[in-house]
Amino acid sequence: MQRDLDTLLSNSERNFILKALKEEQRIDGRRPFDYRKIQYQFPADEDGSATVQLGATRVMAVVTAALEAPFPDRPNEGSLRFNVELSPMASPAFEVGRPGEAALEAMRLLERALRDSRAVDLEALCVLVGQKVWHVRVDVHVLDHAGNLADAAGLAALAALMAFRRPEASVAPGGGGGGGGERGAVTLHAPDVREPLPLSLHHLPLAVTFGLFEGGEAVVLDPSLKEAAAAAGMLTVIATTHGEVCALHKPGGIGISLSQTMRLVRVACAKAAEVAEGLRAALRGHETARVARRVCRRGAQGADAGALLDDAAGAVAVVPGLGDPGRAAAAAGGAHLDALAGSSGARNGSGGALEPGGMDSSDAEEGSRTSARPGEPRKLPRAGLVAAAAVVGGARARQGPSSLPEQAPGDNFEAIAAMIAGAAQGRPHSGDALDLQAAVKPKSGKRAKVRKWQPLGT
Amino acid sequence: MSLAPQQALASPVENTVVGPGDSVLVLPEAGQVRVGAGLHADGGHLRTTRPGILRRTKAGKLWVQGRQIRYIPAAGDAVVGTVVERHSDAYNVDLGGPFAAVLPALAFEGATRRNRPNLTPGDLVYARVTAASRDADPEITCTDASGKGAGFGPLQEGLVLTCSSALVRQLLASPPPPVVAALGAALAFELAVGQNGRVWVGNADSSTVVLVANALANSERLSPGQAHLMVKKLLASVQA
Repeated sequence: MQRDLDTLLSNSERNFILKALKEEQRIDGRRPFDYRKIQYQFPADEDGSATVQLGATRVMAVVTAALEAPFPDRPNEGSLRFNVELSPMASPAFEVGRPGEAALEAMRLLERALRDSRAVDLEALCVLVGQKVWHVRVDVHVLDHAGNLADAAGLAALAALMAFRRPEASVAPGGGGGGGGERGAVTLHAPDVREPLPLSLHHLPLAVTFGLFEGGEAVVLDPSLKEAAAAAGMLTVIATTHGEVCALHKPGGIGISLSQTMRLVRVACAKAAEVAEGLRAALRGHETARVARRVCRRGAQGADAGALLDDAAGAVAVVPGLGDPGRAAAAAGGAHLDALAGSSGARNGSGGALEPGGMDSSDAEEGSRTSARPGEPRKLPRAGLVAAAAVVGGARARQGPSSLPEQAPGDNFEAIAAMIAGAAQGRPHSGDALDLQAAVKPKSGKRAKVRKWQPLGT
Repeated sequence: MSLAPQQALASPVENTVVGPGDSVLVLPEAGQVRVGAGLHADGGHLRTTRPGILRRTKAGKLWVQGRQIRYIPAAGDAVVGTVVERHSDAYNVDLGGPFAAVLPALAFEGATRRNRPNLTPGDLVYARVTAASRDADPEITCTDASGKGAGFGPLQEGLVLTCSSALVRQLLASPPPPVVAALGAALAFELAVGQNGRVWVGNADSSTVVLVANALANSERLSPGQAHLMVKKLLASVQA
């Protein structure tokens, strides 16, 4: 039997809810401005999926991205689409088939919260202007409907977007002739070759819903299903963590005064900051687990963990050495984790140098080209690249630089080489040029480590 | 209907886990087998219709103890329903089952054509299922077999909690489960336990009703000790 949400509530419950609310009592024992318990789940094997549980309401969001042609009116922007599925499993009020009114309302609310407020940097999703951009799609599945879908769906979509990683794409340089790729060809890098990139989010818009009772005088935050059925109206405020209001959504019901609205907006801003704090903490946990898994995976490929960590420590020392504070700052917070896995910062920072391709000079050159991708204002000092290649390539480093420009490597060269040597061996560097030779081909232990690195990059 | 031969049991194995469709007994040629919920005779076999644990009552009746949310009406069940529609001689009442039940307008204690309760859609009633069959809408009444009220009838202001059939069975057990005993020792309230998985809590001040409803909802998987502890904590938090 198909049931409406309205008939789920009997008269005696409705009267009880109103009576209890006058005593500041809610039917699940919460106070008027309490959220239900929020729990986050991120699946281990998938980036860009999140399940959020708000009390008994459960919503799963999955983010997928496709590299396709942009919309003709916006050649340099990606796109962001939302799709909300309300399955009959979540509530008997939902029917199979085309999205109903509730689904469309939730979908539109997500669009207003995350797309119209420009929370996601769509221009950063452009790979090749007019030809290839990322189209990001967020599928939101409601698994259990126990009230306040707006907040739960918004939170799930945001969590999934924050957890999402897209593969790094690089464009073959316009000059042509390099590495066999045709002009403007886009290369997608596998996640174990280059660290996948997160979306860039400008702010975190969060939906905060209030149920309005008694002509708007009595208000509850995060109404449960029964409270929503008994409420005279609802108000959803979409606010960022900095107290900026992205949207107000008031689907019918009673009108409320301006002063009450302002009060609720203030409450919503405070609550949004609170919820975002929890979300960030959950994501930090997820990120740590993700990196830890990757370390295990790489360890299983043949390198013992000690060598891996040593090399990673060396690699991260290169990043600031290459005079790239911007990159280092961008990796802020994640820097430590990245270092642990010998990942994006280090990899991109040193071009292809840490990969076997960086062993001889021609490849090293190519590495430098790929890392100077369009859209990245960063320029890689060549000397630094050579230095890194020299250290990793060991003895071959001496014949390597012949085809590279004559400009003296100078301080940069020495500093980096010494830094790497120092960091890897855990002793302070001396800064002497001769020390480089010592660092490059010293003891057998060091060389063994270098060899172990070689199969990893492939 | 041909069924795969299964282990033919001369006598049912009690307290074992069964799945739907399991044969629990080969029916004897003569004699009586008393059968309760979750079992049906299929050819020469007694088979289960749902997963659970096979139990035998003291009176010798076999039944399957399971846990389900969806309610399938059965004659004799006490249920809490919501009036959905009102007709001249009957009400349609939603029990949470596949079809709405019919409550005759005169099926109340002492009701006559002139003097009968006036229910409106949305009202709650505590009633007894008198007839439930596969092919017709279930029928309910607000009297016991002898026409007395016996506690059935419209329910006043209160909270309804939705729970599984397993919790309902615990609540209806005798002696009452530890959570009800502990709550009852400290607070005064009324419960109407519907076997359709709806439990009405009322006739007390709102904080008591909220506390009782939430304590019951959380008590399904608690041991007696845990239930006592939970009630103690809840009471302490209310009094503080």
